[in-house]
Amino acid sequence: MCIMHNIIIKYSFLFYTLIYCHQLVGQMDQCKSLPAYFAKMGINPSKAYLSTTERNLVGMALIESEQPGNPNARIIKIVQDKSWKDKGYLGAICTDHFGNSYVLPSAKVNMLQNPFEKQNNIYKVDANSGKMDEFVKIPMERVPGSFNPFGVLGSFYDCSTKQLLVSTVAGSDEKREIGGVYTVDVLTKQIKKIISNKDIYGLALHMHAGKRILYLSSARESKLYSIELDATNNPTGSLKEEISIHGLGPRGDDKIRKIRFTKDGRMQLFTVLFYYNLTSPSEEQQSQMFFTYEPANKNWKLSGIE
Amino acid sequence: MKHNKKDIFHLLRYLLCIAVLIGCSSEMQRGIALPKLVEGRVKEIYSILQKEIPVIRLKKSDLRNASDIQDIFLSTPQLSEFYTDKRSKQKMLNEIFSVSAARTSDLPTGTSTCKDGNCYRVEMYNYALNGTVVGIVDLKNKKVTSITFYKETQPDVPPHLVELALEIARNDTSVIHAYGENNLLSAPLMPGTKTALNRTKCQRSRHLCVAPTFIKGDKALWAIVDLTDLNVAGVRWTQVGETGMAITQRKMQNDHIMQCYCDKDNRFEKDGWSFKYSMSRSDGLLVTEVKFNNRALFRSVKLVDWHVSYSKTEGFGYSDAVGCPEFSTAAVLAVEPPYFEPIVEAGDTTGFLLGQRYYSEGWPTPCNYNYHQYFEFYKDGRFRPVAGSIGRGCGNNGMYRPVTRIALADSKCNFYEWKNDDWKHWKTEQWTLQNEQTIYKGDHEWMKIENAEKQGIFIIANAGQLRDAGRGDQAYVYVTKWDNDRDEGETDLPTIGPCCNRDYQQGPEKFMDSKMESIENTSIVVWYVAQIQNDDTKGKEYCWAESVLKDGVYVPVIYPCYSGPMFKLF
Repeated sequence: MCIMHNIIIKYSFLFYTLIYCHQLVGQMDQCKSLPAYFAKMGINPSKAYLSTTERNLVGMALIESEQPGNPNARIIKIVQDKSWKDKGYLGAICTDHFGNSYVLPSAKVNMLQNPFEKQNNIYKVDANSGKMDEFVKIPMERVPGSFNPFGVLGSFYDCSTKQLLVSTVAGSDEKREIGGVYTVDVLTKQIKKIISNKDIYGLALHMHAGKRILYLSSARESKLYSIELDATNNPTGSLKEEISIHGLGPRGDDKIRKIRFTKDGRMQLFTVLFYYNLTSPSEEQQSQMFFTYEPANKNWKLSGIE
Repeated sequence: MKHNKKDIFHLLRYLLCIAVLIGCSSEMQRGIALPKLVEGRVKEIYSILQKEIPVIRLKKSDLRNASDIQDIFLSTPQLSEFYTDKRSKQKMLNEIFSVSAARTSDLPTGTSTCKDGNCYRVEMYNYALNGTVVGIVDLKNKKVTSITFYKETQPDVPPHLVELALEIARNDTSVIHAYGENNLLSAPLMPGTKTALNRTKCQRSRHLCVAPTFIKGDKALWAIVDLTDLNVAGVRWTQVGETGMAITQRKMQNDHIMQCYCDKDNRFEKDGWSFKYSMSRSDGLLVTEVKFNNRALFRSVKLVDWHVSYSKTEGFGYSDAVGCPEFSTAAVLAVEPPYFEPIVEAGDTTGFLLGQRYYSEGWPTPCNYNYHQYFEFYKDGRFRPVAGSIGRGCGNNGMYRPVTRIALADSKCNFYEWKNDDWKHWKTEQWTLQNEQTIYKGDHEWMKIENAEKQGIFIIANAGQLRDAGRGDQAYVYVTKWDNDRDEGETDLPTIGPCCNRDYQQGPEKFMDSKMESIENTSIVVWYVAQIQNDDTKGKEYCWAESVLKDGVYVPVIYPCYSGPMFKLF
């Protein structure tokens, strides 16, 4: 039994490594480890993933699916630790070298279990115990409120520096844009602000032509920006507009929620309807857009919308 | 600091532009005197829906074989799912927008067919599904090689629809009113677009929309024309040369609400009534400083929450709020402006109402909501805050509980409930529940609020006798003390109660002090939580909505349920 258990974990680690670490060339978060608690929770780790978007569930859940990655696949099992339920609605998740996951709060149907003052918290799920606890709190100039219930929105784990890059829009309203981007050293918990007065939704660090480029999406406009960072994630240039998705997709006014890169080097943008308000419980309106880099023109060209 | 004349001129010009762009003037009725092209279009749609294949064919084409290509395309059995709704067997409206020679990029990679250049691309728009069918027709072999459906995608509109959109816009009263001239025929159109139309999207109605744009000086008037409903969805001024976002239905609607109503007081006076109203971030439409014949009645009245629970799954449901469409804690949004309309009873106008509708983006599809809130103001001093649901929610076993907060203006109120043939004085904060055993005095006089001068207001229970065909409220009523030094719910409240409590714990109890404060001779707040059970039984639908095919497109059929007590002066 024990040998079998070890085999599952080893092969699952291999699966994780193959899937997430070597396919996505250039994306700087490809080092995540399989959390040890996956197997302890009686879930087949090779078919498991963490989710914060299951309908009828508040918080985070560990899902075993017949086909991870396919939203229509049959769900085999759903497991929720008690500590995953009591933080209210949750959003972005990213996982580090050691299998620890960092989870952001969110604002969905209502704020009953998401106090405004905790909207800039980052929660950590321990790789071994699976317990979720408050990790750090990103500073906020102004506590979120009925004018904007959101705090931290996007996160990205940079394997090269062991830093978490996090965006927040806490305190911004329709007239004042006071969001920013922070780095959090996951070993020392040191927090540093690297971009000010810009409401950013998704972010991804990518090696591009030998440079460390942070791609960032605006939470207010349908636009993607980039900025070059040095080896310790300090900006070395200024924000540059890369892509506008205005008018694209079924709605034409989506914002970019998440930025990722495919194994063939295309940029994959996950877009969603977002106007700083809460949403009804129905399925989120979202799309995926793919862009290919054209070196001759030095720009990204739309190659598909799903 | 000196300002020269030029600076002042620029400032005035800027302010004038801002005023024009924001345009918060009162809502006007839109309408069109059916112009010739629209009449023809309506007849054409009616006629095409009687046919086996409900598709309007391309009017004009440069291709010699366009008719043959369309014949081959339309005869493919794969298209039958776009012709008829499977459930109702009703016809769906389709139209071919273009037929063109297929480009290499239109053909599947590695395909061996169509190498001789004899293949054609056909684009057909389905008005009911708001999607585009793209077919590749091999003319030589007289077959369709591929059919692809793109949901929520609209192709470029053909020239006859451009003309139709222009005619609708030029005859629409809101466009004429906004442009400021009676004849838009000579108005120059936005240059630089091949069809004289700007692309736009009607994201909320999911209809085919285009935007004829008329130039006036350095401004451009966008008229968003809905080619599914054949009307104007809205108008909006921009500066010529602006390179910002295109004007879409959602942008136009959101900007209007945000600029004119969100946290912006609007004053209104009529029939002896005076009050201010504004849209809140999460408590719906708010009326404040409500007076009748100069007598202050209510400090504020608002709709705090909607709690919806589904009985088949214990503890399953949603608690959400209504309010501004952006930068808010509302999940069901005000997308159209508030409106006024007369109350007509037995042929007489007895007052007026101020109403507001709220939608979640996908309504009436499942798990989306549509709420209706209005305030009735009667000439005789009666007042009624009404909360209604128009479904459809996540199931047919839902209990809707709207939470209304009514803050009385008088600083020395006493509250009484009719019980055991007498008025029972409530001396401390408490709540009660309306049920089948509740006895009323006279015509549903359930409670009364009296001031020091023995003037007051009766609360008339809603037992289903009011004018909106409601079935009664089974309401919880709470009375809490209002204290100027504490937040007793006067500020914009996030959701205050969970979805699924079946007892009095709906949120207002949080404003009751543990020692139950005295509410004698003081300022009070009345909280009213109606309980409304939805129903989808045929013929008895309540708090419900369905989509049905009408004239080839899906339209909602609604079965609202309304709640709310009546306040009557004495």
